[in-house]
Amino acid sequence: MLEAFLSGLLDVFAYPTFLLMLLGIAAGFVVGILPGIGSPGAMAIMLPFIFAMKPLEAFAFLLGMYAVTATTGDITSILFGVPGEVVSAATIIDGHPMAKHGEAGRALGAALMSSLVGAVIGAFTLAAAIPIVTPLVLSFKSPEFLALGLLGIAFLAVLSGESKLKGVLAGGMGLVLAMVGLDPQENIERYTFGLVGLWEGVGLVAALVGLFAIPEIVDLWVKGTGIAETQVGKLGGVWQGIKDTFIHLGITLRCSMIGTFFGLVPGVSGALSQWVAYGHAVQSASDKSRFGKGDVRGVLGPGAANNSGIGAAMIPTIAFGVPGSATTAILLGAFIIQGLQPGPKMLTEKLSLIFSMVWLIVVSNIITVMVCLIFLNQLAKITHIRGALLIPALLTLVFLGGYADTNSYLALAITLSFGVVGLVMVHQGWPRPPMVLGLVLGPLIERNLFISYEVYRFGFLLRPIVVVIIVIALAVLFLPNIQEMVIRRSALKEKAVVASEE
Amino acid sequence: MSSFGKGGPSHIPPAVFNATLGTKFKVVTGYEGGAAQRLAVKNKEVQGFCTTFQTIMSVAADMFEGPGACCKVLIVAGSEVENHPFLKGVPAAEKLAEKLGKGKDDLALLRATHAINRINLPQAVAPGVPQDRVQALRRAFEKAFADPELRAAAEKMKMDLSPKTGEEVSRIVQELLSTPKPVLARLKEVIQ
Repeated sequence: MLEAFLSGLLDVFAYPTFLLMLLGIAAGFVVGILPGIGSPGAMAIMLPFIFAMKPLEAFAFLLGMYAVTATTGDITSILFGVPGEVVSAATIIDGHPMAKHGEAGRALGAALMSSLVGAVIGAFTLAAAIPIVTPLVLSFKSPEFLALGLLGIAFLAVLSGESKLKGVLAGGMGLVLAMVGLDPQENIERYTFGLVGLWEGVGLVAALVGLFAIPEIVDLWVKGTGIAETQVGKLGGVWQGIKDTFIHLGITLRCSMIGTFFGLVPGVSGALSQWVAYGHAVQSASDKSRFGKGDVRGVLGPGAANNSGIGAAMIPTIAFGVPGSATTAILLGAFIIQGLQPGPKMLTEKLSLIFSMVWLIVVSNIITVMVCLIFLNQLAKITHIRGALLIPALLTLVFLGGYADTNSYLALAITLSFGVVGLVMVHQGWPRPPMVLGLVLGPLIERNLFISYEVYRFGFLLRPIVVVIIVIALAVLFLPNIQEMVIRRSALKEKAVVASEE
Repeated sequence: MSSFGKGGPSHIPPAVFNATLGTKFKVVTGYEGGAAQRLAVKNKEVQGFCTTFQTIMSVAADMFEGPGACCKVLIVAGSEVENHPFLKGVPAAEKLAEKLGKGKDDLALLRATHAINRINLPQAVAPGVPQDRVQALRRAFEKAFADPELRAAAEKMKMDLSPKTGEEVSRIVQELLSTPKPVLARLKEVIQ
């Protein structure tokens, strides 16, 4: 195994593999920055090029691109509040306010370094999990997926900030919007108003871009200044962000593990893991007052979770031929083109190739972060450019991203509608992340609730993993309140003791 | 049987087999695509799935052979069964219906639902395109499918290249369009 691990590394640096990986990274950099043009679309475009390549060369090209999109996707999320990728949306919540406070460099440094740490952890988990992957993945059935969805729901309150009721209502609205389209059991149209374009539901990219970016652009226009409202000098620097990753190493590592776990389980997308990671970062902090206003821990959590899922998501694809996301589904296509049959045999007969994939993810991320670090200070200066000059470019990005979601004008209308909703929510002090979480969780919960009941009836509630996840969800929901009560009681006791002593 | 939503390609065949051949498949709908359906079989949530032979060969062969084998093919839609080790002794649905003494309506229903499998990925042009151009396109497709380079690439990908000519596709479409109305009404009832 060690031999395969090392030969896998050496193979990455062979010609032309390394060169093709660099090409993939360059493409991934652009794809990550442009909102809407996600890694699945870009990979599909690249697929025809791999016919003439050998397997490792093909995977160097594709994984080089895939591995960096989530990393560079964080850049637009932080600088402009425009999610470069679906998996980069949670980075906006604290990353963009940091940019507004003149800490764009720090936020970018933190996002990139946590992404690197996450990618390395996820990739090595892929390597380490090979012997135990089969029972682990197969132990997750529909009831367990449903329980993970419910765990996500438990984080609604955490993502709601100070206005819990508004947050829960926004989450409910997200769940309702997730019902638009063909229902998964009967294939009956719901709230589509006769529009075929809505059969697949509300496009997540279009919704995200509208909900987050349009209110920021309007805000920029109204203020008439640049994105950064204040200058903080060295504190806002990239180096500080890198140091933050290691100061808060616990959050970075735990969120990497969250991302890895969600990547490992097929059918639960990275779009969910970033929010769970963010929720965990908020909940595990003793001082929560800065979250949503520009806390670097809110950048580290999703940053680490995004990238750690990449390596882990490869496991079900390779071991079972079951891709966990659109991107890994296209990677499965690459396996077929290369004449490779995914399945348990791959993990033994093609071990060197698997380890090369692990190294490709690690090396691609190291190169990307190093290149980004060189330019980050310059990138951060964009936040000081006058809004009037930025707005046309940002609007182009927003509508390009919205349109690219389904390549239709309907997607533009969805972007614009969610933009209006986002504006109203910001104006009225309603938190937007719970609505996104509702949109992400809706299909997961509905699908698995019906299948679970159909197959197990109510017995699904008694499955051991389901019970464990529901207990965790309840802890997420009630632990903060219990902690608060305990603190309040002990404070009251102390007061009473002091009073009696007096 | 794991399946996508009702009326989808993984739902119609087992539902039609239940109605015509008397099988008792319980179809659980709602799985998100073929990969989720296969995973549900692998983790023993359900006992079967309905897919194309192409899918089995390209991404699911390990489910039918080797140490992790967990499945065997029960019925093949249509009237013929390919010569392949996975399909040895497996009955074709239409032949089975004849053997079981099923009526004409049952056979017509089986044929109508199988038509979509016989013309997978059809290429069509708009009505009114002149015949000479239609013929030119047909011959171009035939030439392309005879190309050794394309056939070698397909073989590497374990893809079955058995294209039907434009004339054959037209015939199948005509057959489908002439399905008697009572059969269509029954089909509607079966897949709802």
